[in-house]
Amino acid sequence: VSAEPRIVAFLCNWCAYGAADQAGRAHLEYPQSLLTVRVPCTGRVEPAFVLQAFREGADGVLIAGCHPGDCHYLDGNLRAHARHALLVRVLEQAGIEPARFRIEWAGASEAERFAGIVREMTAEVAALGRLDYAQRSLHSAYDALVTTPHRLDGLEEARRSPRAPGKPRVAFYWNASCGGCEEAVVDLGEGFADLAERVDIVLWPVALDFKRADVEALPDGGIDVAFVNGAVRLSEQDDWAVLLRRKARTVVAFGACAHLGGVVGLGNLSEPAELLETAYRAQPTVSNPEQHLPGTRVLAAGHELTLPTLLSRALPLGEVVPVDYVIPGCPPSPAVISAAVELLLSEERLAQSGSASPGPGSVLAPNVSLCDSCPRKDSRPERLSVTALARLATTQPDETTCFLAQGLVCLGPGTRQGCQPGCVEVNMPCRGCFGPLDGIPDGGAAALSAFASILEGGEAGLTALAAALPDPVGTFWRYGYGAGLIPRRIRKDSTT
Amino acid sequence: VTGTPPPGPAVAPPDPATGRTGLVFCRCGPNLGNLIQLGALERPEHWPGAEVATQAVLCSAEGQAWLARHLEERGLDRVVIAACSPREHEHTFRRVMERAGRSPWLMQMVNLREQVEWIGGQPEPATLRAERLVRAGLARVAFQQPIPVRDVEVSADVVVVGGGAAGVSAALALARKDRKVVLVERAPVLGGLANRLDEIFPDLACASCFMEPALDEVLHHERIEVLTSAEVRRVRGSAGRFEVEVAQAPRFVDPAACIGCDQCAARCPVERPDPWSGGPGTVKAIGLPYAGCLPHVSVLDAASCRRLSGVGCDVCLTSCAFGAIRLDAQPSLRTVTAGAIVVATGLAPGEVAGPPGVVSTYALERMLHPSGPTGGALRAADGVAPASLLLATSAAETDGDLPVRELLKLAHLVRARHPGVAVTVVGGLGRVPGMAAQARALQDEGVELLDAELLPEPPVAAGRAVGVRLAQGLLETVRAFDLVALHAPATPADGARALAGLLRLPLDARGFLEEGAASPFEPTATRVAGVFVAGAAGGPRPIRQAIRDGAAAAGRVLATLVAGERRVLEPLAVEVDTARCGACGACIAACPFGAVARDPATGRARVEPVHCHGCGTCAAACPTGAASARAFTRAEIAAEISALLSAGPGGAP
Repeated sequence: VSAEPRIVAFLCNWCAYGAADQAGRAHLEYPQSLLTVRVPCTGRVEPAFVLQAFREGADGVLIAGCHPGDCHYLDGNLRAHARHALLVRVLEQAGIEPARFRIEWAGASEAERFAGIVREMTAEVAALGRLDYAQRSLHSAYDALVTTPHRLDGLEEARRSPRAPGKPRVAFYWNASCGGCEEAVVDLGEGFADLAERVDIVLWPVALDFKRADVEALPDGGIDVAFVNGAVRLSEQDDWAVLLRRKARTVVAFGACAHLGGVVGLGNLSEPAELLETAYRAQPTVSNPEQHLPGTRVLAAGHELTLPTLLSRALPLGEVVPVDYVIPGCPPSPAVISAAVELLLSEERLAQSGSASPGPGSVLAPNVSLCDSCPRKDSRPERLSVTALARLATTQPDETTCFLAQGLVCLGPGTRQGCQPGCVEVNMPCRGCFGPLDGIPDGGAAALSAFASILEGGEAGLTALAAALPDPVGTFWRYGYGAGLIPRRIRKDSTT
Repeated sequence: VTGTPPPGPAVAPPDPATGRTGLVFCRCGPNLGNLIQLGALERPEHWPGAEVATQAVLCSAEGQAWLARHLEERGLDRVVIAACSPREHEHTFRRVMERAGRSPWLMQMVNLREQVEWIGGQPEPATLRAERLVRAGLARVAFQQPIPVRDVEVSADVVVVGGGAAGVSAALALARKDRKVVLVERAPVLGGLANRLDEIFPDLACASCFMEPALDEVLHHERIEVLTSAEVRRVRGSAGRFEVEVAQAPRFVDPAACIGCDQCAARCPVERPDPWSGGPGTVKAIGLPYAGCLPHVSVLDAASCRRLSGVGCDVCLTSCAFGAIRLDAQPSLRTVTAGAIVVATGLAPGEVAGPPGVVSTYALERMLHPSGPTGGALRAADGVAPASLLLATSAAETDGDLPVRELLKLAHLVRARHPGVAVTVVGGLGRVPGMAAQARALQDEGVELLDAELLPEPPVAAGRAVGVRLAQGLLETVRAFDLVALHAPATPADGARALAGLLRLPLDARGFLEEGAASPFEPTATRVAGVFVAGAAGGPRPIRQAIRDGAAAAGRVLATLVAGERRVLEPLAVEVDTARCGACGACIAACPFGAVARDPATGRARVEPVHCHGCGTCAAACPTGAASARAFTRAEIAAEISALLSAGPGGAP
């Protein structure tokens, strides 16, 4: 019915919202395209709101407020400008055109200017066409999963079935990840020997020779705790996730890839075909004379083989099957693993009485950010202010000073603690592998907003600072892109 | 399809315990419903879960009474009002909520009039959009929370920055009306420029004759605290409750012990350029700043003092019979609470360039001053009295008629006191209307009024005299004068720009403060409530005008800042959940008002509600969700976005 694009517009109460009112009073006609959210100041607009709007169907997002120098709150609009300047690059990396995300200034009396902005942006967004992000880029990942529509039926019964007597039966499984999480288990050292003593390991492909058939032979609920690391990137990994979910009374997402997609999630910036082309054909060290790709049937030594296919994006485990607990980190630290194992193997938890704290769904690490336990926290200035960016490649960071105070991106402000704190101890800023705190819809967006908020300068200076930061997605979503609000580059081959 | 929904915004369903929600459409007389198909939108079955009603004119007295009754009768705690702009009637309906015993914060307006109906187009898209906006209002109102009213007693005290004519005028007017005033002066003495001038126009009143009694009253007034050698370092808060941090440099002389005998200066071996003369002459490192200064107490210039530079010297210490010198004095920092701030930082006289014999008109006026650096004598380049004097201003002046008035005044004073000096005046006479009579009188006194302009090239030395290039019509001439006094455009006083930055006051192109109040009936008001600007801080003006400004500012303060009143704190002031805060400081960097501070013990953030303006910029910066913007919480806005974009019961695409 409506031909107008849907533009979610965050209008500041004092200027742009007033300009919109004025435009109405003057009966200036402009498209019925704005879905307006009134905010006190453009500075209130969280990058996560913008990503949410795109995810949920906006064709464009407009942030409009007071001209610099006229902000009712002095310079809240410049914070908005800094966040926009970084976020527009993030969206570009996801294939969402800059014309779809604008920040504009219009004073309360500038009705004509406001109407002009809306007309112009609406026309530009209409020319780009519907974005339909979720339909085009998210739901496609499920298409492959939906081939077994009743695959999760009966899961709840398995989870509730009484536990078989004897030592706790534990499984470890490895999906799309680097293997570091397996190392992390072994890194428990003596703790690992104790663990091996306390439990029956029923599956651990990296160390013990169990086959899929052995797992299938177990009764539903026959595994007490399954620790599953890695993102779900392949159809086969989805199969395993479902199988383990059916067999395990408790499924634990182990490590950053299972938790948030991890580094594997950055593969979502490329099309599966591009990844396969690179991995199976383009690399000079690859020998693939027949140019086979996974998914095609191949005859090898008289056997017909089909390698599993790539899903259209890497998914956190929790998006594929219900996950009971998360052990975060890349890799999880020995302290976090030990504490989680103690909790999960306790009698109470094994019996799943349900009354124990923390409740199901919890991330098993403190719900406080790394900054609070940072060994450098006493070096923070009263007011952080970044006027020039430093880069690790060209800077030797001071070993005792807050990284942010040195102009380096550090994700400590928004990252859960529990790493003990690994990177900071070796003079590396936090890169966010433990993920955000509870209730934060997108850790990367939160980290971006915090960092943009400490950038200092006028309009042009902030634009230059934002432009100088390389690879914003890789910087702020290094471990969390697959679990973000915009977790994938928009599909090039899709239309609506 | 999957077990866990994808990570979206955490949107919890409205809690049924929070009461029922009303949805009221206002037809705004004939204004709403011509484009938007309200008949369809108003159907109750369209809005399950909401109690739908329609009123003709909800903002009318009858409409308001109906709404209050409706809320009570139907037991509605929350209401969405689909009507006009909240900028128009949010306050109206919040009051109705209060009258009905509801929290005003559980009302949400949906702007159908200004932002849908009146922007025109086709009925279908307008109606679909209206439906989305109403849906968003309903989604958001479910998350809204009552906000407690908090207030704080205003401070009736006033900080006056600048102790010149304007500042003194303001301080006295306020103190006489029982206000406590803290007068912050950057110089070690009060009185500003006015106290260093000799006779001021229009009637050649003796400046120090009226300044000194006023300064004396200021210095001895029980309700005025004078902080000299002081400057404002930080300002927080807002009208009614500012906190002003003032740094005071040490004077190194105890004012209580010093009697102003100036023996220290007589013995001090260090000579430095005289900062008060406008150029020529020197003063000692310690001593009275200038004759007749108030407070009449010596001050030590730390930068030039030998002793403080590490060279052994104790001449002043031994010369002072009163033991008044305190070389170990330290700078101090203090915070003053005040309800209003008057900025009266004044101007700095323009400086001129040229060979010896070229001085600023300000320096000439200091020479003419009977207790000035020369005791009233004129000095040319070689130190002897000049036989000829040029008074000139360039055509490119921006100080209005002030330069010309100043030149004519100085010409008159020189002719009256030094009749042997031939006086020539050049520049801009034709630009000032109403000066003809004065000019004729001066010509009668023997002053040469030259209808010429000063050429931009700087004057050059010509023997003991100074050569000046003049343009008379098409003719260029070079004339030589023993002494050349030039008026250069005044500049804002030292530190005025920094202060404007602290107060977030806009500056004009020359760096003077803009008054910028909404109405001429609020003289001296600025765009920052509670901050007033008086005198030449707002641009060059006559001293009498500066004094009037000071009185006007005091009047505005007395009229708007009433002792004992309470200031309601910003209801939207941000809350910080200390348990979630990781002490990163992003909020502190983001806050435009310095309202977020670290808890000294934990380092975690704490919003001082008295300083918070509720913009929510910190909440957007906070990466842990600890900072939360009242009435604009993450949950409220996320629910609004989802509702705006979701397909509604009407089947919007």
